[in-house]
Amino acid sequence: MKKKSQFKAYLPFATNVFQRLISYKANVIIFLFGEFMMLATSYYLWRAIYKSTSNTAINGFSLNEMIIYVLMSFLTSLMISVDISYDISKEVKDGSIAINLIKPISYEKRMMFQAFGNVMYNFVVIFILGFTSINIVFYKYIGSLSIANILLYIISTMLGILINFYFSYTFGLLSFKITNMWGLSQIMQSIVQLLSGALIPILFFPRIVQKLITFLPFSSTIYTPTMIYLGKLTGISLIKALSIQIIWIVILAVIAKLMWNTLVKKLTILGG
Amino acid sequence: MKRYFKLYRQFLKQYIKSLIEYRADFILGLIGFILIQLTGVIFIKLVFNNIPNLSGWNFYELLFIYGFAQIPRGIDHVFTDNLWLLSGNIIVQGQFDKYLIRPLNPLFQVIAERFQPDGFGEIVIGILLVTISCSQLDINLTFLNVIIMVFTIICASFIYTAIKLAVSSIAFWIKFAQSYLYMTYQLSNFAKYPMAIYPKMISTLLTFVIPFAFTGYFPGAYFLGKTSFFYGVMLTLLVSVISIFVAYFIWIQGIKRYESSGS
Repeated sequence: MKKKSQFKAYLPFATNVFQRLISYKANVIIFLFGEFMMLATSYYLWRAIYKSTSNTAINGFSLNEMIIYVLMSFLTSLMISVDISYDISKEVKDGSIAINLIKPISYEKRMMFQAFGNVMYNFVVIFILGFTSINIVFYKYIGSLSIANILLYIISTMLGILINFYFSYTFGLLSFKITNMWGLSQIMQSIVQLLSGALIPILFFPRIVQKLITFLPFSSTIYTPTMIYLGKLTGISLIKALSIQIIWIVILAVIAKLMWNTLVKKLTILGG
Repeated sequence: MKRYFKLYRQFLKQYIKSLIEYRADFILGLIGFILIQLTGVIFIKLVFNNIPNLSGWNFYELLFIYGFAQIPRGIDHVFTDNLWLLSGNIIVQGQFDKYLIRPLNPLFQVIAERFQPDGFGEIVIGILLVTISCSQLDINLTFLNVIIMVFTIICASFIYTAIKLAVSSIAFWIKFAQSYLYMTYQLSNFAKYPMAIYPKMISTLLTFVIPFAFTGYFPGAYFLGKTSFFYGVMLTLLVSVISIFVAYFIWIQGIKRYESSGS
């Protein structure tokens, strides 16, 4: 009963974000066109790459699989993206966090619901259409669709959303201490790009680096779901990958709590 | 003209002061942009671990074009970053009025108002990549060649600025044009790789309509001996002159049309 009323109390934060994002829809779609340019670049690049070798597969990927990988990892990265760290640093910067801390609501829960609104928006505006299209491409290229892989992909993506939320949240909490988050987020963005598999499948890295990357949280957000979708993670390695995702959710949630407890005491608020 | 130089120096002085004040910000931003460029290099390296060459281009040749394309991009980034804000909120919030009432060229004011040192990250990486690949490829960097290279880089920077100016001027008509600018700017990614890998339609678009091909591929290919002096240098010059004129024309038309959305 208590759970339910709590849910009701926080739900407006989610719908608020959802409605705000929806009202910018036209601009978002043009921004997305910009991202499609990037996709087109990688599409032609990969085609040229496969033309330049006599092998039909590179690191176990055929050209068709690689194109699906590029599309799917791109869609997954759009699906899981949330603006939480930006929201937090903005609240710290303009001082509005002071008021939000006085209110009798949990900051973490509030952010979680804001992220939920964000994710729902991603789902409605981008994911439904994108996922359907990719499945059609997959069917055309491969000749069949695996319902099991699709379902596992969705589960794994949901775990990825949670990892990304906690990561974004803890990263955002850093703004309690650091005033310039912009430069830091640029650095983080490039690291995430490289290690999440958004740029290139992790299998392309040297073996020892691969081992390292699989144990970092980044590859659990995009690489794992995409590989599951492609049916490249099965049996033991599938269970292992999903377990790593769950472990990272727990670790990051604990780190978030610890960081909150130490940083909230030392928070310096500018202006307001 | 002299007055403008003097004024720009004054503007710059203020920036350097604030730069010293926020030194950590500057360094973080710089590292950020260097890292972003590095991820692109790592991508190329990981790909070349599996293939001997890409459509006839070897690793260092590709690195050369990639690096070359970063230099004008960075130069433009350092000096004309305010155009992003122009396409974003300046007109929406009615802040453009102030440029019109001062006795100075409005475009000069918009550009001089902001100086973005993050762009040095791109310049540094670009120079580094070009130097490394030059030494690996035995490109003869004679005095003349260096002069031509600097010249084409300047032309290419103007092409970047012209494209940004033309697209951000759309804001005079539709108020918020940042998404359009972003979309156009993303096209520059195509210029980092050989044009031969794209279908005819895309390479035509990048050569004649939104001429990003001249910011990296064409001049770069000239130094690698893969295209003629005419394409690599003469056309780059010609295209940069034309695009600046076209962009300035659009800008002027936009100002004529501008009506304050003030509050």
